[in-house]
Parts: sequence; C-alpha cells; structure tokens
Amino acid sequence: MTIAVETHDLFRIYAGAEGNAAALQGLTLSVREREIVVVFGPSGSGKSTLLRILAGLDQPSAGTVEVFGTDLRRIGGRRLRDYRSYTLGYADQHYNRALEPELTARELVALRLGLLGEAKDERLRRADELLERVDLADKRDSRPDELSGGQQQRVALCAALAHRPRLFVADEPTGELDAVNAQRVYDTIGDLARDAGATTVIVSHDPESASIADRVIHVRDGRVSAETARETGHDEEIVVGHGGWIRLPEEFLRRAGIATRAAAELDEERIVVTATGRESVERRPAPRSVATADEGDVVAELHGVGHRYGSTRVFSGLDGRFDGGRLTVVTGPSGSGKTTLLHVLAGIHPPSEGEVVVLGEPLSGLDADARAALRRTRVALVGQGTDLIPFLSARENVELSLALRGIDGSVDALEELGLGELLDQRVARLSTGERQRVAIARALAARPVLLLADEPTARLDEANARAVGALFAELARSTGAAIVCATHDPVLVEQADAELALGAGVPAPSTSP
Amino acid sequence: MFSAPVGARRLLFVVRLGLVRLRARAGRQVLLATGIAVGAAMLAAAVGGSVAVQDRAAQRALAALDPSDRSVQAVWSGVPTQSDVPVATIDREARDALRPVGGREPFGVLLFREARFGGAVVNLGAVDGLRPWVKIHSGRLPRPCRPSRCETIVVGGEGALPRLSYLPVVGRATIADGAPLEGYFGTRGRQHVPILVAEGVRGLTRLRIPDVDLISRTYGWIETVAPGSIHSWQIEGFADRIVRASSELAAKSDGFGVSGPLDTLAAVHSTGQVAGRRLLLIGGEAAVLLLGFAVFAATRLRRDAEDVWRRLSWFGARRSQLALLSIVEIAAVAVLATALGWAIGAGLAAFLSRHLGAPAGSVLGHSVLAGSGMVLAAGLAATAALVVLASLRARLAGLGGRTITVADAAAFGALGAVALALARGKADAQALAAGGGTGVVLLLLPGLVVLVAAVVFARVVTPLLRLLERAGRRGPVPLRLAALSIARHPGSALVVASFLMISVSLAVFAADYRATLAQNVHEQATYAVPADYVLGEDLQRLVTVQQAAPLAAYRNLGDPTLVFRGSGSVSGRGAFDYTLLGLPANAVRRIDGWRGDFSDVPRARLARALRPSRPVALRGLDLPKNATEISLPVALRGDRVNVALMVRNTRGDFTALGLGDQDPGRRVLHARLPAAARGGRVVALRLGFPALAAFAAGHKESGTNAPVNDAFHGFATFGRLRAGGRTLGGYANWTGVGGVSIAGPGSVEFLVNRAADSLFRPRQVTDETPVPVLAAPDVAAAAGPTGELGLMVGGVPISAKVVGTVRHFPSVTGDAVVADLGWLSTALDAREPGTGPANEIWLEAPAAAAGRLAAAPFDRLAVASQRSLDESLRSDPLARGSLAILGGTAVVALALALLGLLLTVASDRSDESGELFDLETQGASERDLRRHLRLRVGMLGVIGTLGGIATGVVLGALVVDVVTVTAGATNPDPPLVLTFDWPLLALGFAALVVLAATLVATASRHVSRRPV
Repeated sequence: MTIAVETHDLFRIYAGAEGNAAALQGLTLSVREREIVVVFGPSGSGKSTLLRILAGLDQPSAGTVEVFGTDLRRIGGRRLRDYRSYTLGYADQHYNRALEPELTARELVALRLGLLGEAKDERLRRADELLERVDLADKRDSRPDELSGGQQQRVALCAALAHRPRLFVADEPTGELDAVNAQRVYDTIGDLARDAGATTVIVSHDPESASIADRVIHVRDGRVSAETARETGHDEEIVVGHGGWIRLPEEFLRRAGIATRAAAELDEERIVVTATGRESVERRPAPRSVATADEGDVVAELHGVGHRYGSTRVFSGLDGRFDGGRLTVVTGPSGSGKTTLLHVLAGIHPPSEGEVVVLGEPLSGLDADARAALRRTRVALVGQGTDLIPFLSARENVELSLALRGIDGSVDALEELGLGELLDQRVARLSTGERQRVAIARALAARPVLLLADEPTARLDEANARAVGALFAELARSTGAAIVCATHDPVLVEQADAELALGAGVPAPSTSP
Repeated sequence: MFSAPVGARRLLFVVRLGLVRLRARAGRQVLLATGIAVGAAMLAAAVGGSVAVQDRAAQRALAALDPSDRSVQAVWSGVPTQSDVPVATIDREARDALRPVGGREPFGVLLFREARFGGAVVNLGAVDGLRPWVKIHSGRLPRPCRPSRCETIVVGGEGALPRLSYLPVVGRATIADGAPLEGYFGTRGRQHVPILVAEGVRGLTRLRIPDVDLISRTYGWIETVAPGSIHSWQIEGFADRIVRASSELAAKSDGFGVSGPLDTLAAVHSTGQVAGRRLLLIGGEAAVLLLGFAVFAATRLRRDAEDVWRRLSWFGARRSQLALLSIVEIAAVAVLATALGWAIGAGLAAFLSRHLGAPAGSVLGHSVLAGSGMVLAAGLAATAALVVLASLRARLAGLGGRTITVADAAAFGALGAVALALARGKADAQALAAGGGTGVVLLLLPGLVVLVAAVVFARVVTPLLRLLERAGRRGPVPLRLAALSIARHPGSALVVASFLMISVSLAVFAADYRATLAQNVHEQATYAVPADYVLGEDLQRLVTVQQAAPLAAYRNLGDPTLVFRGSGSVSGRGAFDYTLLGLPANAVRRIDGWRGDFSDVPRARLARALRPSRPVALRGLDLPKNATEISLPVALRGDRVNVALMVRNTRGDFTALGLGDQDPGRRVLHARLPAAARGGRVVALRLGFPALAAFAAGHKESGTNAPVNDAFHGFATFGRLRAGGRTLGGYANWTGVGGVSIAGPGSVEFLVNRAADSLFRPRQVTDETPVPVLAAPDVAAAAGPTGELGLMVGGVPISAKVVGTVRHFPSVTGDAVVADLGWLSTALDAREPGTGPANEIWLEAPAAAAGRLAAAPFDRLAVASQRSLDESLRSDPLARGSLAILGGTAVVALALALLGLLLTVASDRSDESGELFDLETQGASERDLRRHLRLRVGMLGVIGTLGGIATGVVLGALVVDVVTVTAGATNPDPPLVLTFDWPLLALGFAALVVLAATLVATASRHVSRRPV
C-alpha cells in the first residue's frame, strides 16, 4: 500500500520572549493510505504542531513532510489553498465554533461543496447521504443551537468529510463530549473515513479513540516514542529513533527507581537498564492544613432539587450530600446538568424546585446579596473558562481575588500547588495546566468550605489530569473542605471519594464508594 | 479542477451565504446601519438645506431690487432714418434675442424724451399692454393708438400739455408699484416736463406726426423678472442668457444696449457658492462622524467577522470568497442604511424648504435627488463600506519597531493635507467663491483635524489606560476592577473612547462655531452702525446733516454725536489708504461695536490719548447775529487777485463769501451775509487766482503733464472788518499759508496760483501741534520715529501723531485712522476751510425715533438703523440656515455619543459576560456587577469627553482663524473671534451627563452572565 503521509526528522522551533521552544524534535512518521492513526501524547509533546503542519497551517523548521507525494514545504499560495480545499478535511474539539449558527445541518454539511462550486442538487444529495449515515436525517433542518453537543460534532464531521478528502485530520474531536457521545463520534469517524477511503490522523487524549485506530502512535518531546499497531495485537512498541534514541515509560522508570541517571548493559539479546543509586524524589509540600470543616461533616445538601431553563427540565428530584474532607465528582452525559448543579450549589442560580442547604443554611432563605456574600467567604467556584487577568502575575491575580472578596488571606496557596517559582510570572506566559492551578489557588486562597470545580481537567493530558485529581483529593483531606468536581474525565472519577451521577434528564441515585 | 461555470457558482454561493447571514444577523448590524444612516441623513439635510437657504437668499436679494433693476431690458436709441435697419427689423431682432432669456415674449416701450409736440415739450411714450402698469386717478385708460389719433394719459411731471387734436389726454394716472418703467417714465425727483403715455408702441410709431421720423427716440423691450421666478440653481444659466442676448444685439447694432440684474445675480451666485462650499464644513463633520461610527461599529463586528472567516477558511473558502462575503454583508448594510438616511435627510431638507418658502420638490431635484446628489450618496455608501471593510481587515505594518495601522496611515495623510491647507492661507469669501483647491481643503479642515486628533488620542490613551490601571492598584476595589477590565481589552476600550472623543469634539466644535457666527451676526450690525442710528448725506439728494436740520432737532430725538468721515492715504506711500474718522474723544469710550481685541490698550486709555489738552476750536472773528452785510477795506498793489471771506456757520458748515476779483488800488469790499452765515465766524481771508486767469491757466495745462507756472504776485493791506454796525477784531496773531506771508500788521505779500489755497488767517492750535490719532498697524508703521506722519485727507495734507494702534474701529472697513473731531476739523479747516465739518450724526435714540427719522426734515438724509440691520442679518436665510445646520449637527453628534455609550454597555454585557461571571463566582453581587459595568463605561466616557472637549475647542479656534466667512457667507467685519455660549455649553454638558447616566443605568440594570 502506498504511503500517504511521510515525515522525516521533522523539527519545529518557536521563538518566544523567553527563548526558543522546540515543539517537534526530529519526528519521523509514515502513514499508509487509508490508514487510521491515533496520536497520543501529553500536553506540549508536539501533537497539535504535527497536525498543523499536516494541515498546511504551519511550516516545519527542518525536516521533510510529504502528503501524497507533495512536499508541503514547497507549495504555497494557490496550490496550498487547493490542497486545503480539496485534499484535506479537518475537525477539532470546538465543533460549535466550526458551525455557522445561521445554517441548518444540511446546509452546513453542504457548505464546503458550495464553496467549491458544486451544483446545488449534488451537494444537497451528498449532505443528506452523510446525515443519514450518522443518524441525523431527522435533524437536517435543525440549526446548531437546536442540536446537542454530540450531534453538533457529528454534523461537523460530516461537513469535514463531505468533499471526500484524501486526508482527514482531527484534533481532540471529543474533547468537549462525555464518554457516550465520544464513543459515538469515534465510531462515526471510523465509518465515514473508511467509506470515503480517507487517510485519517487523529490527535486525542481519549483512550477510547484507539478502538477505531489501525495504529496508535505515542509522541513525547517532539518525537514518536512508541506505537501500537492493530496487526501486532495492540502491544506497544517503543520506537527507536535515529541514533538509538528511545524513551522509556515513566512507570518503568519509577518502579526501577531511576530518576536522572541509569546504567545500561547488554544481557544476551536484551538491554538492561538499571538505576545507578536510590534518589529521593522531590515531593511538593503538603498543603497547609487549615481545616475549615471537620472531615465528615455535611457541608452541602440537596433535597429534591430540580432546575429548568424555560420549558426544558435539566434535572429534578435530586437528593445528595457533600461531606467535608471528601472529593465528590458529579458525572453525567453532556446536557445532564452538571454545570447547572454547581451553579445551584454556589447560589448563582436558585433551583427551580427543592432546597439546597449549605453549611446548614437553606439558600432559598438568602437573597442574591446574601448568596454573593456566601460565595465571598465560604464557597469558591472554579469555572470552565477561568478569567485570570493575563498581564497580572499569579500572585497579583490571587491578591486581587482576595481584595474583591474583602478578606485577608495569603498567597500561600500558590506555593502549596507547586507554583512557588511562578509567583511573579505573568499568567499569559504560563501553560494551560499551570493556569488551571493558579485558578485553583485563587479559589483556595479564600479558604472555602465548599470548593466547586467545573471540568477542571478538560484541556489537560492524562498526567496532568491525574495530578489535579490527586491534588483535589489531598486538599479535601487536609483542609476538610468539601470539593465537588463536575467532570466526565475518568481519571478524575477514579480518584474521587464519592460520585453523584446525573442522567440525561433523570438523576441517578448518589453513590459513594 | 472545475471549469469556468463552476467559478460563477462559487461566487454566487458566497453571495447567497452573505444574504442568509445578513437576514439572520440583522440585529447585530443595527449599530452599523444606524451610524451610516445618521451620517447620510446629516449630509443630505445639509446639502438640501443649503440649496433651500441659497434659493431663499436669492429671492430676497432679487425682491430687494427695484422692479426696473430686476427686469431684463433691451434698449435701442436713435433716429430711425439715420439707421440702416428698419424699425420692424430692430423690433424683431430685439425680441428674438430677449425671448430665450426668460422664455416669454417681452413687452415693448417707446419714449420720445423731451420732444416738442404741439408747442409743448413733453416726454411722450407708449407701452404695449399699459393696463397692468398704471393706476388711474381720473379719466380712463387710453385706447390703442391709430395712425390718426393716439390717446394718452398723464403719469407725472408738470408743465404745458400739447395742444394737438390727434394726441388728446384722456386721463391722469401714476406708474404702479412694481412696474419696470422707472427708466422711461420715472417720476423720482422733480420732473419739469409732463410725461404722457399711450397704448401700443407700433400705434404711436405710425401716428401721423410731422417729421416724427426725424425725432430721436428710445425703444425698449422689457422682460420682467418676478421674485420667485428665478431660483438659485437657475441663476448661472439665466445670467449666461442675458450676456448672450447682449452680445447678440451688440453685434447687430451699436444702438442696442441690454441691462439686467447681472451684478445682483453675480453677487447672489457668489454668495451661494461660498455658502455651499462652507457647507462642506458641516459635510466634513458628518463624514467624520459617520466614518468614526463605522470604525466603532466595525470593532464590534470584528470578532464575528474573524469567526466566520476562520470557519469558512476551514471549509476551504478562498480569499476572494471571504472578501466577497464581507463585501456583500457590509455593502448591503451600507447601501440600505445610506438610502434610508438619504431619504430621511431629504425629508428634513424638504421640511426646511417649505419653512423657508422654497419649492421643496425643485430644491430636492437640484440637490439630494440630482445626479450629483446621487453620486454623493453612492460615494458615501462606498466610503462607509470601504472604511468598515478596512477596519475589519486592517493589517498591522511595522515601522521602526512600531506597528502602523491603517488609521495611522490615514492620520499621516490628513496631517499633510492640513499643513498644506494652512500654508495656502485663509479662506475668505473670495477664496471660497473662486473655488480651486484652497476652499475645499480648508473646509474639510474639521474632519482632517479630528482624524489626526483621534489617532493621536488613540496612541496616547493606550499607555494612559495602563497607567490608570497601575494607579488604581491602590484605589478602591471597584475602581481597580474597572481599570483592569479596560486595560485587559485596550483595543475595544480605545475605540469606544476615540469614538466618544470624535463625537464630543464635533459637537463642541459645532456649538462654539455656531456661537461664534451668531455672535458675529450681532457684532456685524453694531460694527457697521455703531449707534442706534447713523445719519449721513444721501448722495441722491445731496443734503448735509447740517443743512437738513439744526443740531437741536437731533437732540430732540436722542443723544447725537457729530462725526467726520473721510478717506485718505499716507503721505508719500500711496499704497496705504484708510478711512479717517473724527469724533469726540469721549465718544470712543461709549460707541457700540467695540471689541477688546481691536486694540491692545483699553479704549478708555485710547480716548484719553485722543483728548485735546487745550481748546482746539477754529479761531476767527465772530460775526454779530444781526449782521446782514459785511465790509472789508483793502489796499492792493501788484497783480489782480480774487478775494473771499471764509465763514464758519453756526451750524458747523462753511460759507465762502466771494468779494470778487480786485485790481490794485484802495477800496472797501462789501458782501451780503446769507442767513446761514449770520452769527458765524470769519476764519480766513482767501486770496486766489482771478477766474479768467484760472481758466486760461487750466487751458494751457490741458494736454500736458506739467503744471503752468503762472502766478500772480502782489501786496494787500486789509482794514478791520465791519459787520452789523460793528468793527470786528484786528489781525494780531494772524498768519499766511499757501503763498501768503505777513508783511506787516494786517498786510500780506501774496503769490497765488492754481496749486494751493492761499489764506490769511488766525494762527490755529494745529499749526504747531500734530493731530493725535489712533491708526491701523499698517498706517502706524509708516510713521517716523516720533510717531508723526503726514496724512492726505481728500487732497488736504495734515500733520498727525500716532498715539495708539487699533486693528479695527467700528464703522470702518479696512484701515482706520481716528482723531478727536474738534482737533481734526480745525486741522483740516485751517488748511482748507470747509473740509473739516462733521458729515455724519451718530444718534442714540429709542426705537420709536425710527418713525420720526423717516419724516421731514430727516427724510432727506440717508439713515442707517442698527436695529434694522441686526434684524436683517439675523433673518438672512443663509445665516439662519448655517446656524440651524450647525445647531443640528451638535445635537446629532451628542446623540451619537450617547448611542455609542448605550451600545457599549449593551455589548459589554455580552462581550464581557465571561469576566462578569468570573466576578460573580468570586462573590460579586448584582449591584457590584452593575457598578463595575457603569464604572467601566463611565471611565471611558470621561476620557473620551475630556479629549473631545479639548479637541473641539482647538478645532473651533483653528477654523475660526482660517475660515473667515460669516454666517451669511460674506467677509466678516469685524473678524470672527471664537465665542463660547457658556450657558448653552453648560446646559449641553449637563444634559449629556444626565442622559448618559440615565441610559447607562437603564441599560446596565440587568447584568447578564454566561449562559449555562
């Protein structure tokens, strides 16, 4: 089978204010025609950069990249536009931003064909065909705001594949979806890509994406470090790079007690790598134990709580309790009301029915100002899109929040969250994970009794997500606060002490391990 | 690859997509559409309104003309038998030439001026269609003339009538008001011969009068021009037709002449052009407001535009398709909004037209709905669309490490244009009438200056916002949050503040420019007529103020001030002409029309400097009041000489009592004293050339450039004058001037010629002391180191000393020289008696005096009323229109500023919803969020308003200095000076603050958060 995509020693260096950063460091990759490849890797490993180069949105600093025999470094202007118009199909996680809100599903799927000058009958026929394939035929006249998240993403996928591209690339296509919808989306990708005969490259954090892959590639530090092929039975193979460079799994290193130095020796046909000495791993300081509630005390309760927006009922008859010193996750499919529940607990939205009690105080008995006062002193909410002020430092953001709340506090929370060296760093220069931690520190600085976090790991890779989950669990135990996270991330769920699962419109009974 | 038809499908698809988006997002375009529509409406109203006021001004000017002066007339004078062309041909040629002028058939007139018929000298004429032009008082209208008989009516004059049976008089009448026959049968002034008029020119021509063909006559063909029949847009064509008719007839015969209101038409046309071009001031403002609003709106659309470009790019849209999409969306909004605004503006212009009495349909048809108007509207739509597109797609360029935007580039261009315009000089009425580049560029000045100021403001405000944020770190949390919020999004904050700056600056400019023009209207009246009434000699009646009535009669009306007005030039430098004013020094302190910037010195001090330090009255020998005769003993030796006594009458003027040419010898000369001279004062004995000798010398000089050196020499001894039975004083302290020198007590040696007045007179104060004067800077610069200079006044040289400088003086256009009346009169009369008396009276009197001044004896004088002039200037359509348009502009600019604030709040509520939600999660209450939004908008409002006020004041000063044209589109006298209507400004500012606070409070009542 011919090679569709081939990169060789691909480098991409970005010049920044604080020096150059290498996103790709000699990435060599081949993808066969019609193959479906999933690319895993932690945040900052170079996955998205690879995708941008394949999409013609970026140029490598060194190395070669060829797609169907065309060297992407050597095309520009009209040829590049034609490549992106005819050869390439693209989808990413922000499906809502990719869809024109004024157009129907049918028109959206036919949009690219219209831009390419396809006749109206033909493009509408193709649109209907694709929508039929993804079980959205009855939604063809619906506009995006009338579709659920999963439905919108499926429409976006159809739109990306309507013109039968030879190469289809997708960047975190399920990043904003719950597990059920994510699986449906992957299945859709698999079906449509195979039908279209497209070569497919998917960047993802989601292990479920491997279910449709012919091959899974792991990228670390700008290189391919390992791959797993379906034909080899999904055994992961470490990729040996040019010059013998290999990357050993962190788990192996940790178990072998290898930190920064190791010794390698040949034992018959095996290479054995051992630690040169036992080194202590630098541990982060434990968060200050400022117990604001006794562990096990009920911090918040739900009694028959329900909420609706207009005529749409989000959830109803919800009962639950959130204890101090515990990490509770609220799970459920997209649209089940996870974020709404957090807002209800925070007193931002009064519930349509039922009662919410926080620290023994029924929120229905409080007016808006009193609920705001509660949020200033006892409750903290870390939202999905946290609005830190980018040109202020991490310290200044926390101080500002404390001033806004009108309470005396310290910025120790930043140190407790491992941001001691970044105190005076401007937020704009921090990574996504670091910003997320600053946002959490800002909330913690107020020493809340109830900490609410909405999808705190949505844009983090597995390692960072695991770290945040561990952090929350530890914070809950050390501070005695009740920490409630709305999430669909299984990494976070597995670290929780309790789970409140919401169904699509029907609440599931609360559970706790 | 797809083939050609596919290309068309690609583009058509994008067009449809654009229209779908437009329909779905109509609400988001409201802001942009509103701004464009308002700007278009302002411009259309200004364009249409300008034509309406110009038309009204034209009608007013034409209506002010005498009907004869207003009509178009062809005239042929001569004796038909001496002409090569028969009368019938002359008649046809005249009618053929005149007919195209007004599109109507002219009516004929015939006049035999002062011809003898039947033993009587009469003015005999005929008119085709006499009935409308006369008012019968007795008898009846004449029947049409026949060859054997021609009835006439008497319409004026006095004297014997012809005794001819074929020329009977059948009635008496007067020429009706509005008849254009003044030049033929006018009765102004005293007519010493009867004026007879018959019906029918041809009939009178054929009347069998003996030798009638040998009598010189005047044929006339008249086309009347009624007020309202010629509109301002027709003036140029009408004037061209008159000129063509004149040329055509001149080519046919040199007996033809054509007259018409060409001067008035030219003046009206010129004034209209000036007014129209000055209107670009308003148009420039409207354009800047419009474009500023378009940029403001574009920033609100930018995010949406970038989103759709990104989305469509991912869907494979080409650059041309993205551009086409933007063009379709923006152009559709621009075209529709411009059309709507243009229609609204046309409606406003129509309303104004009706209010002014101008035909609304025609006004619109020659302005906003004319081809040029449509082109202007199309240009406006295209410009607005381009500006919005450029704002949406602006790329940043780098220059020397700094980024340069489209706005920066535009500002550089504007700055260059401003500098070029200022280098070309001021735009007065002549410059604007002449057109060319100067007027247009200068009138675009407000827009250019505001554009530069806006870009500079933007560059300054960005770091200011960051400073504000840093400064706010120690301030209260709400302020700090608001400052932080602004600093986080400096781009959009900057646009809001810049737009407010532009709107407020243009509102302030329009308001203070309006106040300046309005104040100047009043100043023009008080400057031109510096008292309630100014009385002077009517040049048609030739009656002086002294001759019209005694001073006591003026005192009965009010408080009169005697004033001398003359003209002259600086001795030795003929380039500096000036107006010389003589008035009592104290009057300088109280006359109307004075303004502080006329001199660097307070006028009280100027008055003191002019005041004589000692009596300066003209010295002489007083005549007894009862004296009716005067005698003078004289002994002469040498040549003959003419002797006259110069008497200053009690009423202030002079009488020259001629004593005749005298041969050598002794005798007593006698003369009767006329009534005016009785009780007067003999101020000089004048010795001159005998009349015949003067005539002969003049004859010799004619045809040569050299004067004749003829002169008469001799000696004269004068005895003491006797009058009324009394002997008058002697000649001690008398002196001689102009060829007369003292030869002993009462004795003089004379050398007289035509070159000078020779006088034997008392010494006057002004013989040794120059007259203190206030002078214009150019005149003062001609003075010597001691401040003395020679002035030539009506040919009379006097010595003056500059004691102060005045740039302007009430009632004087151009350079002024001002002196104390007594001092000046004495200086002039001492050199040439009779040249110094006052010739004007400035009268302070109540409004009721106007009626008395219109009656005898004052009706023989020219009377100017300050109140009437003020009223006339205020009611001038051009002035009213200009002020109204400026006032409307100020209101619209402020309204747009408020709209911008309102929309800022509305969009901030949604655009900043993430930020607001974040604050809410940190415990901010609803009240806190409202306060945050309001503080944010308030801070931007304050920054923008302060910048706007400063820019508006600077712009007003600049425009007032450069564009030197009044509200009525004439050159200003006195010059414009920037004026602020403080009460109105305070009221406007208060209204802005109150309305802004109310709107912002209302709009921010419900703070929306991020939807879940």
